[in-house]
Amino acid sequence: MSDYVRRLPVYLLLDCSGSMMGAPIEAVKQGITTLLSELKGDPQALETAYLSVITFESTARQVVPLTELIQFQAPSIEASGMTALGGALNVLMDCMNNEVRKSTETQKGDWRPMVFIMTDGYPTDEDVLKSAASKLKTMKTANIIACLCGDDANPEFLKQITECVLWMNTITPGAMANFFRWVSSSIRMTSSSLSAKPGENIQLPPPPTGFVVVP
Amino acid sequence: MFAPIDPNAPATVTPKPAIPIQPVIAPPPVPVPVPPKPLSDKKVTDQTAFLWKYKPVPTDEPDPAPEYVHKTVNFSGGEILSARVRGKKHKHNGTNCDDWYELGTHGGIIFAAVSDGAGSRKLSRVGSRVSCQAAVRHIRKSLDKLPATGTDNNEYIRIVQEAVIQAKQNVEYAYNVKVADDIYTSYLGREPELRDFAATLLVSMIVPVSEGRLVISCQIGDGISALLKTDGEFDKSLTLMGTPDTGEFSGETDFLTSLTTEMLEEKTKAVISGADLFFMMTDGVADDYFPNGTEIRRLYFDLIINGILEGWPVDSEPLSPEEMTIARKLLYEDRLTDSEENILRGIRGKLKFLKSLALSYPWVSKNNLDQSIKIPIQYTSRIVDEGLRKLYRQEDYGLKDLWEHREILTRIRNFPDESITDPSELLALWLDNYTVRSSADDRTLVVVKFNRGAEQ
Repeated sequence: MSDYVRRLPVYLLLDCSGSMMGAPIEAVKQGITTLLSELKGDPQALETAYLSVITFESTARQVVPLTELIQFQAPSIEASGMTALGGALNVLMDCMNNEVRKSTETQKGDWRPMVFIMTDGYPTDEDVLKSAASKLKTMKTANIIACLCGDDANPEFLKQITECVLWMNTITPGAMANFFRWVSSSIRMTSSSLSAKPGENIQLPPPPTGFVVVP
Repeated sequence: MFAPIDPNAPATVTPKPAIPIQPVIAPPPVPVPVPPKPLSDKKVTDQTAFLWKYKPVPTDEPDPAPEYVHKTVNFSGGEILSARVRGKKHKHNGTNCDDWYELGTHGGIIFAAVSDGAGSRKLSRVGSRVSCQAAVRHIRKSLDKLPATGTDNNEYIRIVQEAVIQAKQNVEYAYNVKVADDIYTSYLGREPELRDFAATLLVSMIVPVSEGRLVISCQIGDGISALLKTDGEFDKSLTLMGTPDTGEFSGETDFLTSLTTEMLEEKTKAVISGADLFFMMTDGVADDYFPNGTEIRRLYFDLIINGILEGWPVDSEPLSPEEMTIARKLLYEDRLTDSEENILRGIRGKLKFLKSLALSYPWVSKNNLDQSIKIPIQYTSRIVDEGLRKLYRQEDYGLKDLWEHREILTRIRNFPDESITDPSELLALWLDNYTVRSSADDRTLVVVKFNRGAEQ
């Protein structure tokens, strides 16, 4: 007799390309651990947030399916290969179609999903990215935040995916940790104000230390 | 340089040290990830119950709203129970309640307005308050001007629709006043806009007429009003008086501030009804009884088993200790021996043991900062899922079965607080404490109980 719960789906798209090898990917792993420990202390997030991880290097795949926060375990991730960001967006769209529930007359829908994209450089599948990004933009089904970590690229290319782009343009120790702490605040802030109208910008906390908003 | 080829030598090829030929192995198939079996909602809320904090209504923000309100109103046709409480998320974050409601009576006529301010809008609590106040004020003034008899039903419908328009105008008026006030500019970090006051609005009026009761409802946004005829057949018992606006995803809903007069017609519903219960509620409650068209009956049951609405007189024999042991075994292990099954048949009439299915979590309240006070709440869904389905060995035992045997519920009644005599105060305590996973919004519920028999 208990009905479905309204969930806040959160997708993390993480760059695991060769350039992330070493300290950067270790920082990502640590960041995920920090994210989880912060979220797991928040009752709203615990009841509502469901997390999924999609990684992209030469290919893209969903390494953790949409899982309730309370049971979510950090995936083991390695870095090598290219940067299939376009592929990641295609995987994201497939996952959202399969996993995110829409409201019907008899079924409660999920809250609008949040998507956090972290990459450290240009994609290697630009054509795929172009068509995936445009398809994603017309679907308008998620709140997407894209973040460029590092100074190897100009973040403009991320604007084709979303208006909300952050850039950590000087590599500092702790920058990745700051990013994940900010992701945690964003999820908690959204969990506590779950009534954003379509197309309205969700409220996000100020960008993490060392990051700028790309206008 | 090259050794002469001996034409008589056997034509052998001496293999060089070979590069071993790799068999073609397909890359290991990427395992399709499978999510773990989800935990039951109870397992999740058992953990989060102790994490929800209480922070008081902020004193440094404009227009603070009282957080815990209830009122019982008697009128010639019956009784109105009502309550509004600040939701868990607002208590946890130290922000204001965004719901509001107002009630009115005029002889045998009753009217009410219920509103839910948009969660993402920082002045929506002003929108919800001023819209309810204006709607009820307009209805009262209009009814005062009517002659004692002879008013057409359409006149009453017009009054309700005008009340919604007045409510919208009052929100615009509030905006016009506050936009010039520095307090609000510094509170928001920018000049206020009309959409900062966005709120839903439900307005209803019920008029005794010769054929029964004329029930008029106008609904802008989510929440719901509904009529329940408790002495009728299950299938014909529930009439929804509105269709909530719902967008593609949860939480997307139209607000009073974007209403046009053209939209008003389709958002108004009027019926002549013989129902004895009428509900009006914001989304914080409506969403826990979804889909409303079937599950509002479960709200009715929840109000009975938590002592807010009366049950029926039954004599309840206590269970013997042996029966009690078997009952517990049934609930928590669900494996009984044959002789225990025999005794179980006798227990079916004495259902008090299902009371143990109540959940007690700490009351999130300023009076309970150390979390020592726990309030027991009973849930129809748990009674059915964890109790009656096992007891009657009926997998699909549901609301309809319960409807036809609802005297059961009286045996399972559990009062969240035995010392409370005012039903609206008990309603407030229940609203403030019943726990549904992911349900942390403000809650407002108005329940009108009509006296049976008298149609005036």
